Amino acid sequence: MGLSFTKLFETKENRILMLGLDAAGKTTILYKLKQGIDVDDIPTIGFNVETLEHKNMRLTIWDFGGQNVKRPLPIYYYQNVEGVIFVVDSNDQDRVVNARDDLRMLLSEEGLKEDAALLVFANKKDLPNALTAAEIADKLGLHSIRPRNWFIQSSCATSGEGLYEGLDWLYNNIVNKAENL
Amino acid sequence: MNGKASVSKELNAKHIKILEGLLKLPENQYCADCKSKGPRWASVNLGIFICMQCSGIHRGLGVHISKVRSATLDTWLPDQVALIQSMGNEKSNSYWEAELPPKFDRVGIENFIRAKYVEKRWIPRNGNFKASPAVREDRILDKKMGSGSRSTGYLKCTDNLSEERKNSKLLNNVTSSPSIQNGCNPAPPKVSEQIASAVKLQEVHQKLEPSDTQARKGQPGGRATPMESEAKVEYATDFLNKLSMEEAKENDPKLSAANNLSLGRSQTAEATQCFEQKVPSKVAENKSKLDSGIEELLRDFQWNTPTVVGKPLDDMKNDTMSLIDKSSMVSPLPVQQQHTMLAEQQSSYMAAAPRPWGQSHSIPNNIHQATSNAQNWGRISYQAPGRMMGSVQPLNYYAAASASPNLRICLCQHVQCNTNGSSRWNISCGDGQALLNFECPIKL
Repeated sequence: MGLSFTKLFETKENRILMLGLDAAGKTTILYKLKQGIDVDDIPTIGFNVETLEHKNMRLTIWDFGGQNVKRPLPIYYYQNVEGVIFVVDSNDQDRVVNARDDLRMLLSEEGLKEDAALLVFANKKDLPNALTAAEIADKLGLHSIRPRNWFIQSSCATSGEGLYEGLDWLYNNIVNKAENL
Repeated sequence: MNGKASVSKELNAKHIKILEGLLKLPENQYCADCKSKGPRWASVNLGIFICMQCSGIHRGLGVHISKVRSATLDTWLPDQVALIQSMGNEKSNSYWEAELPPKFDRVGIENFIRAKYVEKRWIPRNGNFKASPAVREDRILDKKMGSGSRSTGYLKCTDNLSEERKNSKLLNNVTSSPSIQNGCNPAPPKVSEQIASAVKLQEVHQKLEPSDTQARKGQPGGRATPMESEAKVEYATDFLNKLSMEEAKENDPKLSAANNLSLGRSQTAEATQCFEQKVPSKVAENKSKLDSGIEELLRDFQWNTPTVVGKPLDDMKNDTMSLIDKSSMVSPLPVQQQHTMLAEQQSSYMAAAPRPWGQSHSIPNNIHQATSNAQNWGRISYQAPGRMMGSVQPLNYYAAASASPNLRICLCQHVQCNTNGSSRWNISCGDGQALLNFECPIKL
């Protein structure tokens, strides 16, 4: 029983959306996770999709371009999404407000499941004006998000710092959810 | 709080239009960093247009160095649009690449961009440039002597913005050039080029106009229409009359506002003439340019001789005025030429007019001094003391430029009257060094 469950679980693809303002570092995170390289990416027009394995779990990460004409996404992108990765440029203090608005809009999407986990990367923590993860959490108003599970992780996409910690949390969340079913 | 949300659809459309206009400017048709064609991205805090490849690198620098937006996809805030309008690739690079070797190899564009903006390797080292790009603008203007074409380029693209800024003090600033009136920070005009350009002509006209007329003018870019010219001529008439009455008023507000290089005002028993020669405002900022001294100034000047011969008496006044108008438009010229011109015109007027306009019999010592404000590069004023027809009294023209190291004072002296009627003139600097000594064949 246990074996068949694991097999079933392995084959399941988990849809993950990765969103955030432009130049937050979404594509950099994606390719750091996927290939371990630090890409000097051009702005994403449209989206990138990559499937990566993490602890026997297959994650299909959809990385949408941050340019605002691409948002809000059509409703079918939110269906069957297990988790959302929201990336914030913690160095860009002026636009944390914009990020908060975007996040609110995202979480109010009807297509998004209530139990979809929210992982926030407070990215670019290595830069001089970077806010801490706690400050970002405050400014994004994460504490008022109920009942959704959320987690904030400060990260540096170019060095890869913090990325796997965040992914681990996402993994645990999805596993717990599957077990509770 | 969220600035982007406050940008309405209409405003956004307007911004996009402005940005499209900016992208059509020659300077913005190439990436500010790698020089590739057709940039569609921009750094809103540096005020430059860059290509997509470079925008990726700029994004990697962090927003404390460069904030990248798409010129076509993103919503821009009004101040961002205003900044990029006032900067542009050329002006920006005149700062960031001031010390860049001319044929620098830009292979490895990322390293180049990092060296340029993060290490600031090629910014000017003379200590004049310390402030941030936005604050620096005026100083950059000093360096970059913009041409008329640049100004007109802005004019084309900023009609929309001019509406918004109609009430701004920039617009109402009498000294402002057309581009200022459009809400752009102008490149200060280069004396020789600008004078020849239509923009300059327009500017001169506008200086003669009341400032509220300026404010009403929606499109300062074009040439003056005939109607406008007429109005200006009338205004010039008033202006002249005023000057005749209020003899040689220093610090006349209009004059000081016009902050010009004024050459020549002379009254004789029979004819009154006034030559106004405007040199672009803001020349004060062009200190570096002026360093080349009066020689260059004189050399660059061009002169077109208006021909006014045999006009009926009734037209005399208007003709005189149009002459003034023309003079002010076309003629930055050496003082002695100006004088030659003056003499010629006087003769022609006298020939033409049995009862010449301006019965003011010999108002002596009519001094017309265009004073300039502290911002100006100086002033060149003109003096014709006690000038009478056929007089052998020497005429002295004084030109002074306070801001330029080389062009301190220029004394234009009438040194000698020959028996055949010709005269000898001498132009010298304040330090006594003679610049020009020549003989004027025209009889005085």
